This record gives sequence, structure tokens and C-alpha cells, in this order.
Amino acid sequence: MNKQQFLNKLGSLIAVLPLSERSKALQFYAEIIDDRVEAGEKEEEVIAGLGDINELARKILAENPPRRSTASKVWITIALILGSPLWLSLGLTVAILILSLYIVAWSVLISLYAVVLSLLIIFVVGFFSTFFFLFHSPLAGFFQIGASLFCGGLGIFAAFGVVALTKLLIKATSKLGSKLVGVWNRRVVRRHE
Amino acid sequence: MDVQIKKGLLEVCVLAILRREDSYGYQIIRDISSCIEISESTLYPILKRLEKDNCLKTYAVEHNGRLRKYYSILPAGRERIAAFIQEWPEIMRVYDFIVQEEKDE
Repeated sequence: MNKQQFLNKLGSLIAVLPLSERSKALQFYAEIIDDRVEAGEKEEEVIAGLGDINELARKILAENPPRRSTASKVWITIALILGSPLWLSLGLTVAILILSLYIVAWSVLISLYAVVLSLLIIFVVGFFSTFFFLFHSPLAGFFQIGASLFCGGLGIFAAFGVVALTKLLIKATSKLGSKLVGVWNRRVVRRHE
Repeated sequence: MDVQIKKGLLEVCVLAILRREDSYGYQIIRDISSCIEISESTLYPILKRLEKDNCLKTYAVEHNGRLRKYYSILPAGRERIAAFIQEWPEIMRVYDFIVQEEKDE
């Protein structure tokens, strides 16, 4: 590889860098090559002595972490402002949708609690009121005892399920909450860089 | 040598060379090589970082029809050298500690 080929190849490997950084790096190596050739070394040997060109590129890129230039920041801001009617309303719609789903989930849970409560009330009222007419009409009485016991059992069973559902919903809420806080922190922290 | 340790040492080496007199890329490599091995690909990031830290500045001089970039040390660079020299006793203490541990085993 001769000097021009080397510089072209290195330039293409670090093309992602801004022009000023790229030309500084290429100038550095061009100068080294020129100096060593002037000192008597052969161009091909100098270039071979520089080592693996990919390694050179990697080291150059490592020193230049990607950073949004002021110009692109301005364009991004303009684009965001111009597009805001669209993404703002879309975002709002999605947020409201998620919020309503969340409220529905809680409402369903509350109604389930109501069901459980009713079952337990049926059990208590049914069971104890039986004793008033048990001896008058035993058949009806035993049926009522059975039915209320059944409701009571169902209620207790359902109670466990509803409590578990509540825990699940609370867990999901905290997970979502911390995720939102995380995203918010990232965006706020990014802004201040 | 350990990469991290070498990086730190090389930075001070480059500054020490520039403290003697302003120099350019190829010359710096030649001068350092008498003390510690350094490659061009290692020198470039070091020079970049020292410039970013205001330890050195650059200027161009014409030479044989091309421009040669010279590096010149700045006060912050001299402070970096002084700090290194001051830290040396502590580095020696760590060395003694490690060597002692070895002997005790």
C-alpha cells in the first residue's frame, strides 16, 4: 500500500467522524510517513510498520465519542416543534388510552370485591336467618343452610383470588411507574449534557 | 506493561519531552523510544487528550514544502509533570507493599 492508498483507506474507516477530526488524524499520519521517508525509510515499510490499519482506525474512533453537534441539535429541535401537533396529540391519545385501561382494571377489581362481599353477606345472613324457620320448614331450611354455606365458601375462595389480583395490579403499577421515572430521568439528564 | 499504567506514564513522558523543547510527531516518538516503547497509533490519542486538557498547544511550521505540526507545552502540562514527580513516593510505597506481600507468602 502506498501513502495515498493508506490515507484513503484510513479516511474511509473513520468517515463517521466530523471533517475536522478526520483531517487532523490523517494529517498526523501523513506527516509521520513523510518524516520517516525523509529520514531514509521506504514508504511501503513505513506504512507496514504502522500496523494494522483497522487497529489505527479503532484507536482514533475511540478518542472521539459521538456527540450531537450544535447544528444537528438545532435541526432536531426544529423538526420536533414543527411535528408537535402530530406527535403531541398521538402521544396524548396513547397516554389517555393507557390511563383509561388502567382505571378500568381497577374498576373491575373493585366490582370483584363487591361480588366477594355480597357472597359473604349472603352466607352470614342466609346461614343465621335459617334458624328462625328451620323447625317450621326443615327442607327449605336445610336448602338455605346449604346454599349459604356454598356462597360463603365461594366468597372465601374468591377473596383469595381477588387479593392476589390486587397484589398483581399494584406490582404492575409500580413497575410501570419506575419505568416512566427512568425514561423521564434519561431525557432530563440528556438535556443537561 | 499494563495498558492503563503505560497510558498514564506515556502522557507524562510526552510532556517531559515537550518541556525540554517544542517537538513534532516523529521526533517525539524517536525521543521516547529510548526510554519506553511507543507506537504512532498510541501517540496520536495521547497528544489529542493532552491538547484537550490544555496541557499542550499546537502550531504549524513549514518544512520542505509541507506543514509540520509542532507541539508546545502549557502551564497545565508542567503541573501534570510536577504532580507525577510528587506522586512517585506513594507509587513506591505501593510497590514495596506488594513486594512485601509476595515475600510473606
